[in-house]
Amino acid sequence: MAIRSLRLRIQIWHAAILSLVVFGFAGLTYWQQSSWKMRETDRELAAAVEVLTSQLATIPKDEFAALISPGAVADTNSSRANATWQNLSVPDTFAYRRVRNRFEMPYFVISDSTGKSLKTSTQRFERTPPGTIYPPRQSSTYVLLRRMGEWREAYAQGPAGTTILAGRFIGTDYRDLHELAWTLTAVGVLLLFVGLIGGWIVSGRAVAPINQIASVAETISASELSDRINTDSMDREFAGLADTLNHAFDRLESAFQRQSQFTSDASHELRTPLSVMSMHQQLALSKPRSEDEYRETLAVCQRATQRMTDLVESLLVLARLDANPSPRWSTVELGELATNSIEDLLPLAEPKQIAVETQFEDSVFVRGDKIQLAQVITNLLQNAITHSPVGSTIEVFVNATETRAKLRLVDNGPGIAAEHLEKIFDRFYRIEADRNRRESGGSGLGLSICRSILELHRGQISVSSQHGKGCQFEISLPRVPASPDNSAQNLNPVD
Amino acid sequence: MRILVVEDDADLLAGLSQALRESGYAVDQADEGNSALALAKAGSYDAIILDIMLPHLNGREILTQLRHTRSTPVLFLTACDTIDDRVEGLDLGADDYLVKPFDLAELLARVRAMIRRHHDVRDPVIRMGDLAIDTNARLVSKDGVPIELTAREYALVELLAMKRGGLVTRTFIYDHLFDDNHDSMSNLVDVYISRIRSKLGKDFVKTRRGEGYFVGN
Repeated sequence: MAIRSLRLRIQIWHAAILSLVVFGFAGLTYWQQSSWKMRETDRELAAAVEVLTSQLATIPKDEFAALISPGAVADTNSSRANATWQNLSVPDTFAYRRVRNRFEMPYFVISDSTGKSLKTSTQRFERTPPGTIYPPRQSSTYVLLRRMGEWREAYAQGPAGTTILAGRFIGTDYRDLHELAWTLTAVGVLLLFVGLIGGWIVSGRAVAPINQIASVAETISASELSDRINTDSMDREFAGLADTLNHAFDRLESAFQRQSQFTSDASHELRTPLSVMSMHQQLALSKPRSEDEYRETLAVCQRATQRMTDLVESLLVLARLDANPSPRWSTVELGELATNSIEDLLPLAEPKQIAVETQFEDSVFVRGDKIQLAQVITNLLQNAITHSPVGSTIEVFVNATETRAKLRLVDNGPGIAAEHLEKIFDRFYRIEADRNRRESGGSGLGLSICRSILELHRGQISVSSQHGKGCQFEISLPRVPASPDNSAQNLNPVD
Repeated sequence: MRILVVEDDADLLAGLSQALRESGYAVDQADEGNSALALAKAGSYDAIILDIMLPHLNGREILTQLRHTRSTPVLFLTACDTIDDRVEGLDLGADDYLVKPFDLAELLARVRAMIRRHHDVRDPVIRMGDLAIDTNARLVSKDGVPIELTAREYALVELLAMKRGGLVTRTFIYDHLFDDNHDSMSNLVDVYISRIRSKLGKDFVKTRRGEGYFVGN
């Protein structure tokens, strides 16, 4: 089962690591302490054995043999050797530790090769001497150690086959070590406990910004998109997360704003024709009218209806481009497409005596939706015809570079002031002075439709203009080689 | 009463003007900002119906500039429908705010109310002695008996009634009774005055020679 709480997981890891460290350290301390104590004891005992050995070495060999022979009488031997034998002892200096009772004093046993005890210290314990030391060693200073329960002993080969053993009670050391073990355990548990509480608090503080971020993010809804997470007093790691979220909120907010701006613009645009209709209908119905007046009312209503129809059409085109951009891809010859659009719009140009001059490069192919691309050219041309003065010329060029296909449309209309140039592709953007729709007839959506279509085709649309000297629109699309198969293919180069 | 209608949509402008004229108002028109401001500043209008989205100069700018010199009642008639738009419009000094699409009857009622407020008239039926002038029904009655008046005659009676207790010059009457389409002579005012005298009684309006006309309370 996975633990889903970060804080709990941090705490568990923290506890594991902390106990490992605390108890590892305690164990190391204990081991160090006990081995130090044992080594100390061992050195002490080895020294005692060596002292005894060196004392015995002062006794001549033959005297020593006599001294230890069975049935030897103490008094009969030479007084000097005898005195040494009698006063054989481990010096007090070896019991430098504070001795709590006499058992803790070092003791010694000298036994013969049969294991029979020849001489013992005053603190003699009823313990079995080691007997023959295996493996027997020639070196008299070689010390072997053995541990027997609460005693620790060292022994070595003495002269004439004797064994010299020195030992010490180490029960007290063991009790000290036990005490140390308990102290270490208690301190370790306490440290662990304090560490865990501290860890819980620290991890709580560490995850607190996450909760703060979450609570702010929760309050940010569609109606309250302006709130942001305050990153001023936040740690770098969380500030990064909060910044990321804030940027996401920014994008969300601007998308919402664009959406609501679009909706409000659309309803705004629908209001005027609706007002016209309702106004004229109420006026017509307010009193009996002549047939001509009714006709006029109907004509006005028809114009308003046409305007609303155009607007709704444009809105639908845009909505479809936004929601489900699925062009019917085919290979299109740009010049041919432009020619068709121009022919369609000639009836609009003729009454104003506007000439459309073309200069098309051959075989400029692009991939795209024929109808959508034709719409782009038609929209641009229609704008040009609407804004061009009577008797002027509109030029249309199609040419290509290695990778791009270009269509350029130049008119001699009034042009567009610089401050409007960037915005003319925005939805419902209409140049103030051009608001009289009776003349321009536009919905304010034509150029944004062009831009949407071109974005879908990985193309660009740009405009340059000098106020009063006409303007020039250029669309650019990825060029494709001429394809013998001109039919619709379901290959979609965008996705 | 003379009204300026400012609206950039030609069909709407025509319809509004016709509706107002049929209600007995003299109507001037403007379809863009600059001419609207010039007209509003120069003319003596009893009310202005102002669109906000206009070419060249928008309605808000027109109102701001107009308020420096004139207190003409202004009604914003606009498609800008948000609360913020309305608050801003009214705070700029507009007297009323109506959102498109609107009801014609409501617009006319609001214009009447605005004009009454401007002349400090509370009762839509103005009573002067035995005369009752119903500004809603556009009817004048004497002792409960309706008097038949032409639209122009009624407009003159209403104008004088609104201005009762004060001196009214002939120019004032001329300016408020006829719009720019009218190129009649100003002595037409005298003709109308004599007509309403004959219908409402000689004492309704007194002539102050060389100054103008006076209507008592």
